[in-house]
Amino acid sequence: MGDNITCNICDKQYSNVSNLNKHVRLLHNIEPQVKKRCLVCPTCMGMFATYVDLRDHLITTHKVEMYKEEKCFNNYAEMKCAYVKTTGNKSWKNTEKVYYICHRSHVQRSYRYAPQEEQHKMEKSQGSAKASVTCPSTLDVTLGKQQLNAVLYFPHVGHTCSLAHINLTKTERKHIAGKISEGVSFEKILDEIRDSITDKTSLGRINLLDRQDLRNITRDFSLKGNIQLHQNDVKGVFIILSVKILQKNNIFQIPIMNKTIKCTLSACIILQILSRGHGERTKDKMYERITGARGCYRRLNATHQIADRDGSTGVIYYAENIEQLDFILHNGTAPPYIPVIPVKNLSIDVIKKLIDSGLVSGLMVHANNDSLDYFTHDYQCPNPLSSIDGTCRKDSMWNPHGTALLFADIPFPIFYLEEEEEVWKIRDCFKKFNDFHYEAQSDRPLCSLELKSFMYATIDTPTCKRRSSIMTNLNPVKFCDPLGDSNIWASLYPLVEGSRNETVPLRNYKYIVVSARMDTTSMFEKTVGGNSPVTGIVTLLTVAKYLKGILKQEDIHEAKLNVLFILFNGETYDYIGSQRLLYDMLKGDFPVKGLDETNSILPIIRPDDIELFIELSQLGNNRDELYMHYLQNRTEILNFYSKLHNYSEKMRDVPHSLPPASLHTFMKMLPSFPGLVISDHETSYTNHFYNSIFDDMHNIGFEYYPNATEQDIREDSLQYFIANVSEIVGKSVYETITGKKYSGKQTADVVLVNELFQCYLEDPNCKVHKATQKGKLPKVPVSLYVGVDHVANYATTLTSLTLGWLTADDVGESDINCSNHPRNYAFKYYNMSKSIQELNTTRCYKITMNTTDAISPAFIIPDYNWTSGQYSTWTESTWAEMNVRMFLKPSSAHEKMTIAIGSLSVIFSFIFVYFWLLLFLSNVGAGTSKFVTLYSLVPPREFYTRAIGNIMNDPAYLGSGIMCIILMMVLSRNSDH
Amino acid sequence: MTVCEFFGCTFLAFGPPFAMFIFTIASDPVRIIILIAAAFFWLLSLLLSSMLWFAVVPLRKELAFGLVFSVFCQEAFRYIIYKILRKAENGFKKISDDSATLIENKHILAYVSGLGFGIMSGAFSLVNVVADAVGPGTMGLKAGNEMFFISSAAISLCFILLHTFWSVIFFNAWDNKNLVQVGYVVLSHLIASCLTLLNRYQNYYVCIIPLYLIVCVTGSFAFKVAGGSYASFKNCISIK
Repeated sequence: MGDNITCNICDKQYSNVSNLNKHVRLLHNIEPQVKKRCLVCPTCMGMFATYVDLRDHLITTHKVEMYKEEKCFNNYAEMKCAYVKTTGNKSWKNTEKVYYICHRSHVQRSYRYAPQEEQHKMEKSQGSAKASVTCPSTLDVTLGKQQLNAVLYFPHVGHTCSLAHINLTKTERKHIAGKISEGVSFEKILDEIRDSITDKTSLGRINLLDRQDLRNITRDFSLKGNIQLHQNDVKGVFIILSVKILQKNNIFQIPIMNKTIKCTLSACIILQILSRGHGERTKDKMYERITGARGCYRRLNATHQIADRDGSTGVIYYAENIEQLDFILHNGTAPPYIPVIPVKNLSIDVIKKLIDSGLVSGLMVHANNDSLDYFTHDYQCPNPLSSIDGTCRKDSMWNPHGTALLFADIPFPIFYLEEEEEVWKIRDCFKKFNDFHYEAQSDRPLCSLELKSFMYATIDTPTCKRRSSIMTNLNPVKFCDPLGDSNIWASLYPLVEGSRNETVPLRNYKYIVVSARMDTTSMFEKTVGGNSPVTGIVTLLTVAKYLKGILKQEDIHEAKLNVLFILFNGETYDYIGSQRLLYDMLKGDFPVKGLDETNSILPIIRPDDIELFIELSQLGNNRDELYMHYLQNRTEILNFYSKLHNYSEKMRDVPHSLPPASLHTFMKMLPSFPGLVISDHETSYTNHFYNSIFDDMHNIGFEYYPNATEQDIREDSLQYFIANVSEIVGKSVYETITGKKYSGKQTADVVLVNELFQCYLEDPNCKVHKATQKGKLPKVPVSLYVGVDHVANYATTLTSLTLGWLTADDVGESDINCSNHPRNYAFKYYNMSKSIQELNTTRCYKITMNTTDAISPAFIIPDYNWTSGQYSTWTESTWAEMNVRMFLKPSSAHEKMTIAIGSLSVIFSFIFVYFWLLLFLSNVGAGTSKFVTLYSLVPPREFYTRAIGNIMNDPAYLGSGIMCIILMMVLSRNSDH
Repeated sequence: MTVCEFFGCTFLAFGPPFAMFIFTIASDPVRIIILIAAAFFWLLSLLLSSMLWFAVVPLRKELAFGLVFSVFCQEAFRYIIYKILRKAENGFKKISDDSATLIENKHILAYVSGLGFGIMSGAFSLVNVVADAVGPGTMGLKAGNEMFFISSAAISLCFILLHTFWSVIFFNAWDNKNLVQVGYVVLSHLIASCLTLLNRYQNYYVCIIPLYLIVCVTGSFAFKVAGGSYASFKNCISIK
């Protein structure tokens, strides 16, 4: 910084540019050319360069009284004020300073975008917290060795103190997310936080936590796909009301103090300790929470309820094998039991045995290192109700190892425990208290489990819907939610043509559909979905990228044949997604609802417009051969097969066969629909872990190559295999559209395949997701369970962005003009990274991707006949909380002893007190002794006769007496068990 | 079904005081008022001692400190209610039906206010424990053992009775300016309270047996103070 900073007009020298600018502005009345930022006065829209100037202006011109307050803090976490950082730390004279501004404040980057008077936007009640003006309140922090000294400037100007714009801090959000992931119920979190309000001054945003916040956190941290909405929340309403009153008194602004508060480090420490709560309840010593246990939800369809029942308690029995389990079922003396068994023993036989024994009130299944041959609890013929008859025969079933446990109505809850430490905890407790003297188990306290997963809904979907309906119930409570999410679709090239604001739909086009399913399920809350559906999704996405590379827009126009990519959601539960899409298509509601044939927005696509429907099923378990299933010998299909076969000898055709696939929906309704399914199995699944927690990366032999180039990836890896399949499919589609063979050199992107698998199977913060969006995700695979209709799945959002990105057109530099304004219904505009290798280079992309509802038509059609079986009717029960805790169950002998001692104590004391007094009355007599104390204590006899008379005459007294007797009888009965 | 434990403990701790209440207090409104007033004064002592516990931050983890101070606090409030009751005697005369016995026999006031003290302290020491006894579990998983609940109830009963006896002795001692008896009350209260500190070693008998010995000693002392003697005791037991 050796150059002189000199004023051009008067040759005066300055130490820095800002001083010079100020000089030029003030003295010579010239606006300097360069400006970094511009602060807008909230009152008169005047513009200033620095906060000092802005505050001076407010004080002098608008007569606003500004205050300054100094405070000290021990760490950043204590400064939970709503201030945000705009620049990095500044070092100055050996101290480091950080500048924060009010989070409602708006700082323009340059004069160009500064708001004009008439553009002054109103303060919004929700949405962006930014007002269009600058709030003069700031927080300057000096970082010291021990503490932080902060200077706060008050008051806030230009915005009110609105609840909607106070945000939770990161640490608070993390803390809450941790709790949610531990399985603490929403009620409990809210209660804890509301209970923690001690005095007015400590009231922060965290104390105003509501369910919406929790849901947002659940969504942002991708914790689980289902949230129970609850009915009564009196406490919450009370809090909100009281907060409104407090808000009136403006206590959210930190109280203004005129004098400077000096505080020492020690004072800070004392305050900190004071604010910490104490107190351990007896309860905390009695219960041990088992974290990481995953329960299963109850699901209902039109005729049945499936999955386990409500919570229950039982004595732990840790069985390492079936023999041990049999032992307890025959020799157990302290039922009910909750066996803890390794996951390999979970089979239909064991469950039957447990149900038949009647001694079991729950089941805990834990993971161990055993290798399994198969583990699948779907039907042997998946989706039996909505598949075409005759496609799954008794002699060749698609899923021969299926136990159908997933769809069985088991009368006790089943939990799955993955964390090894928790299993050890349970086993240690079992060894210490339960694992000896089985014949005398009932005489000692036993280590027990409580499995809590109360499911509200019962019987079946129509019942539950009726109970939730306002028509039949004055106080409707939601008992169940339809399963559902969104289907994703995208076209290879736009369905419209023309410049941005004058697009016209391309009518009379035909379409080749490339589809796959989006979802999986499992017995428990966790899903993985390695082979089904991830291999299908990844292949589809790779085909999309490959076709985008080799097919030109002219080819599409010439052939009048476009490619549609569709990912169906909810296919595991009777093809929810495809049923809805077909329903929409037949009604003319696809791609957009409620448009007529002659609209100027998008062409209407009907089933007749589909020239060929290619479904990519499971592809990862068999690298030697691939099978193309189809039901009818249509020329389109046979032609396509011959093309596939030309590109690869490994391709086999399986006529008159159709594995479980979305195609069932279409062919059931339109028997001559030209569809085929490509899969890795011929007559039965090669995937032995279909729809289970073990259908993971090991099942399909996936191994991630970090930062790999094409050469790094082994030729015989899954990545190359999937890339090859994509290439074959892509080339065949190319040939179908152009009528000639692909002659170029381009190959499918194996690096992309590598990254895509990583996205779904290991870490959602993969390069592809980083390229398409900015959110940070927890490092666990996103759930691929379809979930309930009103909660959007993270997996769906991420996949839709990926599909959109891979089929997008690059339309230029990324800037703020890359947005959907003015709106064009055919496109979305997004700034996304150029490629996975160049994450930091962003471009503006025009995306054709869109989503449609994947909610079964059964819930749309008024007065739908639930028994018709036409559409999927699956719903998921709402539930209050799901958790597991371990405790010591007292022996019944001890219980009996306790109640006996208590009752004896009552009876004896009554007799003793009464007769003691009577004895003195008769023996000592009044007045004969100095000893009159006890005599005078005796109430007159009439008191008792009156009392007894009252009891006999008054039905209320009599009733309560009888109630007491009944209570005692019930208790004594219960203690026998 | 640990509801059994809940009722068992509640009956054990509050059965005897309930019987005493029914037979000796319920008939006279004035006695009920005194009982409630005494209970209120015990609550005040709790408030004061918990404030001090809260204020003295470094000793907050030390149970013994809060306990000792709490004992002194309770005795101070016992003295305050003694003073108030003696001042209020003239008032009782006007409102009570049989004011003669109430005034003439000074032990009645002591007994009633002592029971009020005891019931309130018993309630406070037991309620949170008993509330947790309802759940499906019992003590012993991490700490303590199965006997925890029932011994807590027994200790509570013990303190209810002790408070009654202490008040009888204490009131009489101040009437006669007998500082030795006052000293006995404070000292035995201290010892009894400190005995409960042994509970954390999970051997409840070590605590319960000496406590009931103290109950017996203090009970007979109170009996004597109230005008009884061995002879009168024998007299009332033996002759039918």
